Amino acid sequence: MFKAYQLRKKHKWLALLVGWQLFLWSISGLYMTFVDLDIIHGDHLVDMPAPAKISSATIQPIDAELLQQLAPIRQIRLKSYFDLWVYEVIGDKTTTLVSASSGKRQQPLTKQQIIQRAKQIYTGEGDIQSINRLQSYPKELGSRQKPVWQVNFDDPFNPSLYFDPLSGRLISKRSDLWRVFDALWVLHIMDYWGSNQFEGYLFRIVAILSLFLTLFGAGLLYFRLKKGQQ
Amino acid sequence: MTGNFLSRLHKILAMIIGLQLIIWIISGLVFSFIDHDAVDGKNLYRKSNHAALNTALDTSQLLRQYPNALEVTQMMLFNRSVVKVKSQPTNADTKAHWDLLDSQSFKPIAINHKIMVQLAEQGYKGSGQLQQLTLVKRRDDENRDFSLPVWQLIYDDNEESHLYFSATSGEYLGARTSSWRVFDFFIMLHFMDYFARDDFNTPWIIFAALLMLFFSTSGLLLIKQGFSRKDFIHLYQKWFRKKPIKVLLIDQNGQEIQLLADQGQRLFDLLQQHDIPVTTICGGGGLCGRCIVRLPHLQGEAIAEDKHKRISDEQWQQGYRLSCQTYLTGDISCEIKELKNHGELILSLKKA
Repeated sequence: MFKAYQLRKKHKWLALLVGWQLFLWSISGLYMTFVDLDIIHGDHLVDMPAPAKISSATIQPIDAELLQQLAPIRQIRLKSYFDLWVYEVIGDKTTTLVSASSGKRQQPLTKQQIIQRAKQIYTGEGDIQSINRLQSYPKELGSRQKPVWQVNFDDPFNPSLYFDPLSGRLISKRSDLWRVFDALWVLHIMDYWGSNQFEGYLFRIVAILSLFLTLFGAGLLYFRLKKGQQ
Repeated sequence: MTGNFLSRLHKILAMIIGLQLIIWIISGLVFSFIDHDAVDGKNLYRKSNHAALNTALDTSQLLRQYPNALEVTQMMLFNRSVVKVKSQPTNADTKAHWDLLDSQSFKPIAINHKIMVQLAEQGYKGSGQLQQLTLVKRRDDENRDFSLPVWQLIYDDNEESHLYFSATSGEYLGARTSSWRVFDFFIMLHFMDYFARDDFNTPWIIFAALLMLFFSTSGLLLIKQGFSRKDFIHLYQKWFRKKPIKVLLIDQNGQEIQLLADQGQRLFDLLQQHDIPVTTICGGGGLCGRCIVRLPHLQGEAIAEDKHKRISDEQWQQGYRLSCQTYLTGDISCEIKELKNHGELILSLKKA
């Protein structure tokens, strides 16, 4: 088998090669374990109202002409987002939102309605710092080609709430704690260049070398403990 | 911080956290190599071709019967028009509950054995046969993400797939495959969450991660200490300039032996290569101070860095050096001596 000096040399050179990534793994791992996942998700940022019961008085059937346009329909779901009642008409590829109070296509909510929703659910102290209607999801939300309202609050960790422009549904929430988590996650899985094949191979090579690094280290530990006893 | 302290810290941390580090790396490799589509059971099930809806339901009638409805979904179950109703729980502590109704009579529809077999026959896209169909009401590792009760369909395909359907609505919930079971096992090891398997914020993993950070940081500092510029020069010279150096060793009896070394090689490594036993504990890290040699003709031909505390000033003057800190840069002779004041044999020259 190996002698101590050979193990030491291998251990040393491997450490030089992949030690930086072991350090990144441990620091990102520590953050991810230390900060509770619910806080990362921002569950404490909002207090959602209890869902309302359907009142038949305010519900109109879907406009017959519109219904025909949307065929074939797989599902029709009647539900509420905040105090807005909508039909989600699910087709083979698309989902269309229909207002349950008019039976017509749901029109986008006003900025004022979005502000009202944000203020209603936000649990923090700070005021709204800015509110933007974005044409597509920002990168931190996954860059989908759909419009979205972004409401930013003037609080520690810069919380943002995201709302759907049609239903006013709270899509997601982000804060700096989440943003740091996301950046560290990239370091943890070594997804340095976005998702392509290369970093998959890089990860595997570095992980396999790290495995050898630790095994050689274990060998060194064995020699040191053995010699230490003499 | 002295090298000895760092090295000892690194050793102690290795004893505490080393095994978990190996587990972390192996499980990380499993996550990288495993087929994620197989883990998710992707392509195992495709929703049945239910007919399209032909009419929209008039909800007012339904709401008279279900005044606590929060959500109403109209859909097709094969050729039958059905409606799924989510109702507010009767007391605040319980969860909302779901009913599946016929959309004409508003009578509850039970997702029975017969309907499940029909759904399975149409939707299952794997290569196996349905072996078992069970209504599961008890929580277990496989169904922990689904609301109970569920129908469990066991297939004999190569992934030993279990398909899960909601027993209240008949909806497909997901599959559990043998790849998923392997993945889940390593998730448990990686997260050190041996109970719930989805919590990585437990106190013990935070503690382990903290130790790991100390471990890797001490390792990084040791790298900085363990390398000298000469290591890289040696590497360059070994690869690009092959002319060897002559090293003449003289043992206590005056016997001589000549060895050939690479440019910039450590004397320690040269001795080890030729099976000349060198006393060492640290394996050449310049820490233990056991691998002492005497280099009587030192001027310019070998550079020994770092005067170890086990070598006195007087000995240093006489040419005593640590062999692991001695880089050979020219022909040199080396005397192997017993250091009486340490009471130990530093080097004894024996031919292999």
